Amino acid sequence: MAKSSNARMGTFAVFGVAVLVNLVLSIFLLDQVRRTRQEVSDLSRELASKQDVAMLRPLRVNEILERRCTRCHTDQRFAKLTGMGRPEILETIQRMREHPGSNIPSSEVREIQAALLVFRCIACHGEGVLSQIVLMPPEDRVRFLRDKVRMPDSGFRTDQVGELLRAFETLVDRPKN
Amino acid sequence: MEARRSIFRWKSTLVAIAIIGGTFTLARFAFGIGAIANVNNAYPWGWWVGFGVLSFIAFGGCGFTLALLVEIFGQHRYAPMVRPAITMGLLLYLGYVVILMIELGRPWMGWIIFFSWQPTSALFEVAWCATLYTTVLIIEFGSVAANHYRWRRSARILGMVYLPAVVVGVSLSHLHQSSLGTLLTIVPLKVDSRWWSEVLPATFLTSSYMAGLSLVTIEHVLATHYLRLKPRVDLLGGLARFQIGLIVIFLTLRIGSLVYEGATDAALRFDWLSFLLWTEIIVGFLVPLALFSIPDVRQNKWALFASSCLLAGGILLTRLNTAVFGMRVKHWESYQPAIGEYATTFGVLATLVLIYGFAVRRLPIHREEPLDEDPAPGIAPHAAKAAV
Repeated sequence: MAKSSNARMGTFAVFGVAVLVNLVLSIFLLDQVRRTRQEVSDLSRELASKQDVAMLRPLRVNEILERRCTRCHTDQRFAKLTGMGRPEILETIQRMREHPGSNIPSSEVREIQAALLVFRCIACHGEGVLSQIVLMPPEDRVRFLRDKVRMPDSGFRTDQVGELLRAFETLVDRPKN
Repeated sequence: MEARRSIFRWKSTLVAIAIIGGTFTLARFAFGIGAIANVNNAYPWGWWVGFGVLSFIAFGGCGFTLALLVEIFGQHRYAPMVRPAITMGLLLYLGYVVILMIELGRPWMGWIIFFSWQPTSALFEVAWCATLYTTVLIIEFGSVAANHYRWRRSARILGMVYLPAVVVGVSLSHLHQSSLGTLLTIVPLKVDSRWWSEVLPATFLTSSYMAGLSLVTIEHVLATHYLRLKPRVDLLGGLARFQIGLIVIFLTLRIGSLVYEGATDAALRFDWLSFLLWTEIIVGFLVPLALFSIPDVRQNKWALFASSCLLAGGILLTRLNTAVFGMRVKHWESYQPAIGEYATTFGVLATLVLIYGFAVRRLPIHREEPLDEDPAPGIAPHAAKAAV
């Protein structure tokens, strides 16, 4: 008698849970259908802009600095790096690496140096704008950077175009985490 | 005899857990928080807050839920369950304070909260309300102790303030139980979209009612089993009916907020957080809802016990998911609770169970009739007295 009562309870419970789960899933699926219809009707004529394509491969300058530098230093400290060239920045990073607990692997030194150099550009242009450089052919990229470096208050010397170009290439080529 | 042996085994295990927890607590104060915990800048709210604070307060809601049901809504047939609920509520709130002090590490500075006037802060409200409510619980529990030990004057004073204290306690509980949800509502970018919603205060309040009723059911079944008292299955069945309504309200808010906040695509993703979400919804709420809806289950104390355990687990998982697992952090950040965090919380929990066991044997907290004519001596003296 008790066994049949338990079996009945079990059957009711399984059936009840199945119905309830089905109800929740149905609500979610209906919502998905509604949202998809909404998104399709909201699609613009221009499916993707240059910026959208560029953002598929962002430079992630802020991410690199946030991961390795900003735990100890504020952004203002990076301002002191203005005027420094590649060798000075590399020397600074090597010095930081010697601090106990800094936890900077040697494999990341190049990209941190590149990020610190490009960080100066971010003062005026967003990371999204800079990512558009990825889309440029190499000769256009050189011309573009040369024009930008020549601008007053660019923060770079004219002989640093090569360094800047290499920094961009390092950031563009870095593997995705 | 078998029951006494079983109680002794449980007691020894709890004492061992409490001693281990106490040792880790001493280590925390001697060597600092880093020595026993893994909480970090990305996960400042770790196991201690997720389990020790949010869950202890939720389950501590048993006191106000039963007081609300009996004293405010006039459901006096549940009166035999008020004393155990208030005792458990008091102990859980004291446990929460202890865990908070272990985490913060400076208990002697606790008074500062009363002089740092920040009326717009949700955390300030929680701290004030929880402190005041603990005082109310002490008053409510004190009237039981005063009557039992025949402290006439104290009993008279406490008897006079009992009902106002209940009203104040219920109000304060509503404030701080919902404010715990507000704490997370104000950080929409920190909580995963599957758990963040504008109705978090309402879901936290509803889940505290459910947690309270679940704990009362679990305690009643275990206490009557070990003390060899007649369980009030009719009352437990009644509480289960309330649970059905509460689960329906909770799930409506929960599923509704997932749809409203546009989180259904995240909920249908195949990842770890979605697994936690579905475990919480199916095992923690839908299964208990189905079980409580079956009349046979509502007349079987062990089936009610199992259903309440599932519901309690669901509430615990919801709180942990919202405050710990669902925290959005940078992808390289990680957090795994340290042994010290587990040891201190379970140590406090074990101590609370031991104190509760002691209180149940010394005070007339359970007044159900004994199962046998001749109950085992020393196990349920009050029940035996009541039978005589």
